[in-house]
Amino acid sequence: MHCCYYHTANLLLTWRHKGIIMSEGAEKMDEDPQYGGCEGPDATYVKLRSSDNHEFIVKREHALTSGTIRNMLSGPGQFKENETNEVTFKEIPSHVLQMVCMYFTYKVRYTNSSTEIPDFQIDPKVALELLMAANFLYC
Amino acid sequence: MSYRVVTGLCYFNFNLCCHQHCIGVWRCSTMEHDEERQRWMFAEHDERCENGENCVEPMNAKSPKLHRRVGHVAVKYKNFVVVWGGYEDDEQYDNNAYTREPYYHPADEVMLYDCEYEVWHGVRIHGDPPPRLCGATAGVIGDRMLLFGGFMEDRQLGTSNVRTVYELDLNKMAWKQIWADGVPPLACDKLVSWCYEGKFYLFGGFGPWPDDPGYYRDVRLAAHPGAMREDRCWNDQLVRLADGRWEWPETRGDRPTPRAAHAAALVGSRAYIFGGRLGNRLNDFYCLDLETMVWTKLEPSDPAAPVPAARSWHSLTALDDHGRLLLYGGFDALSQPLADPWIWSPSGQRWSPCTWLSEPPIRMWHAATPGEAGEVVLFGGLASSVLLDQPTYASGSVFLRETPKSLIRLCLDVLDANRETSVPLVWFTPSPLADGIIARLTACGSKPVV
Repeated sequence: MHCCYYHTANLLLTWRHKGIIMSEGAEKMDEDPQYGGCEGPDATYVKLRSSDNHEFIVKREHALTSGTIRNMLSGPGQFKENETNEVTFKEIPSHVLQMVCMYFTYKVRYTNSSTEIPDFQIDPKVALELLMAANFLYC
Repeated sequence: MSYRVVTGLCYFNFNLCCHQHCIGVWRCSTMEHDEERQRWMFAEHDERCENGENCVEPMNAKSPKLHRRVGHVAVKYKNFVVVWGGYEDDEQYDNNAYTREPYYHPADEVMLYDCEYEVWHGVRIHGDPPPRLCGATAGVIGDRMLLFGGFMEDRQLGTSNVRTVYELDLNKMAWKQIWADGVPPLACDKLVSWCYEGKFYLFGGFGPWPDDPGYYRDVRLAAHPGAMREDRCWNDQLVRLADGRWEWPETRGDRPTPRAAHAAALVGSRAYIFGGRLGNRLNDFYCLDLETMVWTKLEPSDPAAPVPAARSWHSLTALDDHGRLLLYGGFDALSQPLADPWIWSPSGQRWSPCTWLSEPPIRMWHAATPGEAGEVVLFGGLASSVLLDQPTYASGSVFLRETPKSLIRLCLDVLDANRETSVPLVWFTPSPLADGIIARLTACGSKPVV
């Protein structure tokens, strides 16, 4: 069984289930000047919310892998998303959105890679839902 | 704020209509354009088609019919790659002995490869096909594929070189012969071509001496020392087909020597040519600016830097619009097949070995085209020396990637690897995504049982 070969050092992945747990990482992120925030047009991070209210905070550059998210965040004022840097996906559950975020990291890490690109592990049980999400997100 | 899912895709029904015989039920397959995703794909539906001539069948990706071919052509058309022609060895049992004879692939069918869904289709073509050929060259202008040159071998007609242009209409899937005015190119094979601004350019080749040398005074011809008149020669012709007329443009600068089995790639308005054979195998590298028609010999900026070995029967493919090129494989000066990919970087003006694959396979006389973004695909060719009695043919396509596959393709791979559990779920997926999945899952030849 292969392990995931890529390291996730660049990915700041925070789970915040509403009203129950605030992880330390999230608090630190809001105050520590080293990390960017989610506010404003030049924010380093964006929030992706799943249908079951999990929030995934990922780097904006990574999220722009998705053509759909790119349109939503940069479209001319049609979407409120480009002001608040938050996107909600009412049809994508968290177990799928999590895989999508991991794909963003994988894609960015190995684009223009000079080495052989390792496999991206996908659980076969999630594959079809992930395919539909990927088709919608255009990534 | 939420984002509403937009369902319902726009379809643009195309003229291509094909039959697919399946379990006694006539099925029609059309090439449809998905407006939202900007791609073409085959979709099945149950209506009977009026035009009963074409036939489309999904092909097993491992089918020898696809990969056992040498000297074929492969061109990129929209999100497909069109593969045609070439030959392979066929073992015949005749008079109590086994002989190996070349078997040329039929000229009235093409293999279409869908780069995104990774599915092959065999398409039968009507019209006037060219003879079965190897060593021809092809290019795409608009919705037409132009084919020139090549070598044919026929039991009755003998061997000869083809000197006419054939056009394949990729909408109607029909062959047509093109009659052009002006002085035609020399009959030859193992030449290269590219298409620029609606013109089909040809360069080099190996073929018989011209019967009418007076027309070809500006073309240099070269042969082995001591060659007889009946032998063949290399040429350095540069000719283009424009508006039904052959033109012989004048060029300046460092003109390359005659050669054949070289490789060319077009980036923007510049055509790059590498290596080939003129008696010996070459590794010189030229660029022709198609606006000014000036040849430039490209040397790496650092003379001590490694360069690819001299070779013929290799491939050169453009990687992007900035002039990066991928060189793969071929046959070297010691008659050994090669497996080394190289990348030309225009900014650094140098060749560097390509490390995208940890163990690149040997390939010679294959065909390479760009696949999806950041990907180059090699089809067919030999995985051993051509001089062996029984050369090894390629057993599959080779993919060279600089960028990971899209998530859609990765998911399709997983569904493909887990067919038994995937198939029932597909019926809950909206079309045309379901059509793509079904095409992929049925590509092994067996239809899923509903």
